[in-house]
Amino acid sequence: MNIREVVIISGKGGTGKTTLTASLASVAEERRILADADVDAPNLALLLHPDETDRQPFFGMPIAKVAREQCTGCGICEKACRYNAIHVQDGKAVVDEGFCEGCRVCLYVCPEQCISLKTIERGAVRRGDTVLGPLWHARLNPGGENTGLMVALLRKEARKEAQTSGVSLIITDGPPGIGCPVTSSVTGADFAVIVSEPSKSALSDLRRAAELCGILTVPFGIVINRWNLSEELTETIKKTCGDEGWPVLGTIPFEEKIAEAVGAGRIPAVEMGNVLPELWHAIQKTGRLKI
Amino acid sequence: MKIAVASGKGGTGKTSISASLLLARPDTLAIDLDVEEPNLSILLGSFEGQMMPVTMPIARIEGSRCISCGKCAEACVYGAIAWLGVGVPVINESLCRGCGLCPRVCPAKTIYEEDQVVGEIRSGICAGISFLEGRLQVGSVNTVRVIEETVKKAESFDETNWLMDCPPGTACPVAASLRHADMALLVTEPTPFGRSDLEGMLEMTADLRIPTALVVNKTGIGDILIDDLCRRFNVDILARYPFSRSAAESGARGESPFKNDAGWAETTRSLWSEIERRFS
Repeated sequence: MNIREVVIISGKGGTGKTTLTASLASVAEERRILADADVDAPNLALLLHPDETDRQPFFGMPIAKVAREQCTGCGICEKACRYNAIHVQDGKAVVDEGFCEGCRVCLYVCPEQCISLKTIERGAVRRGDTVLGPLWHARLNPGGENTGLMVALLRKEARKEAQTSGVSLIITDGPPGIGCPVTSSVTGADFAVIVSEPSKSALSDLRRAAELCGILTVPFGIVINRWNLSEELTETIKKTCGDEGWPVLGTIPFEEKIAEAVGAGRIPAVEMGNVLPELWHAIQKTGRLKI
Repeated sequence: MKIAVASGKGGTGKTSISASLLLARPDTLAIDLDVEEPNLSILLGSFEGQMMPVTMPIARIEGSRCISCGKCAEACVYGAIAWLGVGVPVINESLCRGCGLCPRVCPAKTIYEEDQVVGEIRSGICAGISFLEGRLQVGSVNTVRVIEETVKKAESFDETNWLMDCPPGTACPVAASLRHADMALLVTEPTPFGRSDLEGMLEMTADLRIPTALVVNKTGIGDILIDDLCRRFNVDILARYPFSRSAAESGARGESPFKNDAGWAETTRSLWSEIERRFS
């Protein structure tokens, strides 16, 4: 079975990734699995209201731990750590768990051999049933490391379920930005939808997101959300896309009834009207996603 | 005082409110730490200054002296060194995190490190304000490295009052930014998404023991309440900015509403008095 994975990203946060992900899923004809890869600010469940069926703890990389009694406070570990994650405080080395990446340099350099590894729970990966199909989502504990690893795990679970249950479409709600979790969400996907909006900031961020898709060799198309908030800037974005050869898949207007539906925890599929099926059709055509 | 403006959810208006606070107090050092998508200069005005690269050491192998022991591949927890049991191991640069372990474990001393550019820092003046911006190179995943280097650069400035425009989310890039703050100003919006992500942010600032206050932006676009969160985390709302289409349009064009919306400017000035009254 050929599984197709569409990921929704944006560069800039708050352009409407989550709303679009849920809305597109509601018009896709085939069975689908959803994934929320924005693991440090996950919101898709707030629109899909899953009934939880599975929950597993997420550990990430084991990190450094200091045996205080043996530590002489020599500071060699602090000097060796490239992540600024271990400091001598009151004569003893203390690990900053939010920053330790588990590289083990400190274990190697410690003359007292008083540093070892420990595993800490960094969040949970969950599965739930929704009216639109299964949802795989996760929550990284605040301040945590390993977002990329968590996203990779989440996508693996979604893909595994797609394989075993014969589902051919995965729709993933991606994180904002262009860093570690975004790279982890986009790498190996079949198509990326970049949600933009008519503002100078969103255009700047769109360029960086498009460049990232290019580097990762993932084909992409652009959706301009709230286009009527500035017709002039919408034209600027369209022109930029035209000049760069980036396909514009469609536009969505700003309408109060759409915002109200999301505010009430509902998918605004009805409120968006014909825009949605047209958009989904354009994604399938441009992304060559028809099976 | 070093203020970090953060939000959890993206698009709540961190950068708009940061720019407004800076325009109201131009003697504050402006620091854009949203290094994946730096937009503060767009809202402040034209930037003049210089750029310097941010680098990170990446491991390389001098193949001729390699004794093919495989210790480096065994030591690397990121799976960045592939060794097939014979010959010279191969380093995958995009997976290398520059931790510096492999040069230490190599018995033949054949692994060395070479600086690779992972981003840049822009430093200068923006709209008359001392300005610093970290900018991650597209394709790099070393967000935290660029943030840390940008903050290090900020320490060389004369200004003791900082305003840091932070990245969205609640993961390590935000933690790296908050680490240098005396207080966190969290910008939220009255929607279910805004509330949910604010809760994560409040857990984080409580964990890090950073004094925290809230700004509610776009009041009127939703009716979600956060009073219970304020009580649970013992934080106050210092300002409310109403949603206005003209403010949104102004921001979209790259003009801070501080300059052309009298109500917005007044709210910003009173926000400053509240911050100073409670936190300085």
